[in-house]
Amino acid sequence: MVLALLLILAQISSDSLPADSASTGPQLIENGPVRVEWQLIKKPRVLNVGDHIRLRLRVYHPRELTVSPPLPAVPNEVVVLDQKHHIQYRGDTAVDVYDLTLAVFVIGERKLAPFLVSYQQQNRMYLAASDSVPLRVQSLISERMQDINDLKPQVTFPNLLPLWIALGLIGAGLAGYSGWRFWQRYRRRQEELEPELPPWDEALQALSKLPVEEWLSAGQVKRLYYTVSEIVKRYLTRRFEFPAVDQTSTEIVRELKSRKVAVSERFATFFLDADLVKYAKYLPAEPASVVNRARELVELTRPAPEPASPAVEAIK
Amino acid sequence: MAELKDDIRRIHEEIERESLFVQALTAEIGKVIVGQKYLVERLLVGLLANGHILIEGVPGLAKTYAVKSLAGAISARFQRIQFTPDLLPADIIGTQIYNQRTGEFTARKGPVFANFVLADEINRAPPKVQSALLEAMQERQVTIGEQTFRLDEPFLVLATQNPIEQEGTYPLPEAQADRFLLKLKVGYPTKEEEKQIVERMTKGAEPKTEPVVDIPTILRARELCTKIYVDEKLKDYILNLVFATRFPKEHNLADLAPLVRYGASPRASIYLLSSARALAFLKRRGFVIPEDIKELAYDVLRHRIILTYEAEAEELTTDDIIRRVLEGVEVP
Repeated sequence: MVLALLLILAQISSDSLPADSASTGPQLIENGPVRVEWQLIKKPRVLNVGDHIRLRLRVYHPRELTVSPPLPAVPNEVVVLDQKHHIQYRGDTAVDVYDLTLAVFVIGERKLAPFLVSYQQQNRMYLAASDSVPLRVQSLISERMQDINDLKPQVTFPNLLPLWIALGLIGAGLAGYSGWRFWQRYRRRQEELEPELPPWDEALQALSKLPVEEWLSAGQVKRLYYTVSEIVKRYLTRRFEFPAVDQTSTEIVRELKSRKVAVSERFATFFLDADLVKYAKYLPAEPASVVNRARELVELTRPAPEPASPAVEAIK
Repeated sequence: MAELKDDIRRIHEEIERESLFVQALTAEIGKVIVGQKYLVERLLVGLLANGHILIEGVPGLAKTYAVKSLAGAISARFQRIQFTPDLLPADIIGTQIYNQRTGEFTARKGPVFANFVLADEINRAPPKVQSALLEAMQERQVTIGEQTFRLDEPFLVLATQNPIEQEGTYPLPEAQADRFLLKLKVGYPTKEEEKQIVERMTKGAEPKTEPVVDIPTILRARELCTKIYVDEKLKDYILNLVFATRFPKEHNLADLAPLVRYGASPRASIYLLSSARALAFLKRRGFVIPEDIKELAYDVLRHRIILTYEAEAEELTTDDIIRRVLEGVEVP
């Protein structure tokens, strides 16, 4: 293999050599005037195929001697990606420094073939070689991997359908039981609740509960009027089914008139008087009378009691 | 019923005495304007509550004419500014002019220096010009160069805008519309009113108002308005109305929550109170009643509520929201 390499190098360099010297071919000399040394500058901790490594080659030779750039002895195992060159002089010796960026495409524990430089002396071509570069290059494919796409073993899923059905039945049972309990409680509460008072009874009851004397002795006339007025408004809201609590006195009276309530004028006077006390600091002569006036209005607008049936009359 | 407390009685008597001019003023305006009682009453509310008024209505509803007539019936200075896209702030507030003889700059006051300023079609001028006027409205003073001039009292800006022909207009931003006390929506006259208008306007000479009230009377009335009694519960009612526009859920109006983006500002509460007092004065009362507040709620709140896209998609207006608020908040 090395012989083949030497023949290739000889072929390459023959273009630049005189015709007589080309015929003889280059000769590899170990202890000649040219010496090649290598030094690894940068290498990854784990070197994989294709990773970049930086190698520095120093070619020592006499000043007057012209030396070719280095070439790898075996071209296929390494690719030179980049090459930088500068020259240093130490007395009569010149040092060609080559910084090479390489990529290695062979795997395993191996020694890279040496780098060769050629030079001409006394019309003959000679070669000088560096030492081999020891490297361990790993493959990208895992060692345990048998193939690129290993087949995974078949996965068996457990059949949970019976479990889900059972859980669903239990859930439905619980929901049904809770609903039944809720319904029972709701019915019991409905039974316990007192029947709602009719609006006139509710209003009369609220009016009778007012602490009129207490408020008036404390000088809270306005409070009394506000409360009585609100009771009447709530009564009208329930009795005639319109939102009297959210309406002004004018709107309430208009509403009562449109419903043809017989005592709408009395309501108008009542609300006008109440408004004067509430909003204008009026001091009524008999403030307590407002409760009686409200009571009268409620009594006047409550529906007439239904006539008793003939059977009841007969019993009477 | 016995009697009013002394303080209210005194205010009541003063109002009885001082509000006589209202009738004379209304009668004088009535010589020129047919109908539009609502518009004229609200103009007087603005005058008494010391607030500016934005009037919106289609062309030909006597908006400009009403304002002109009001100014004519009061012996006050009136200026009309037609807002156009090429108007400049200096055209309103004034500018500095170089006097060649003295070699000095002198301030030349603009038309804003008047008691009544009619900003006709305010939405036709660019925002820079609108801001110049609105700043004068708020501060009641104008700075030309390095000199600051106080505006005369009363100073009332009556701006009109047309709800149609929106192309090439600059709608007033919400913050600026908020400075107006009232936003009025003027509607068409009735058939009978329009018949009278036709007869009056085709007779020949255009009718004009004569001054029947002077400025000191107006200023005295304003002073009196501030003394009108408002019960604490009514103040609470005003706050409940305004807060219901901001937090409808807390006032049992949850259905309004997705329709209102921003409720009315605190200015709404202030203006609702002051305008209710002015309305009570016009009705010759020394105290405010809930009717005053409800009557003015639409005009005070309609330009202060900002609706959501959902409300606009439903073709709802701020008036619909106010109606729901008025229906949902308990009257004390």
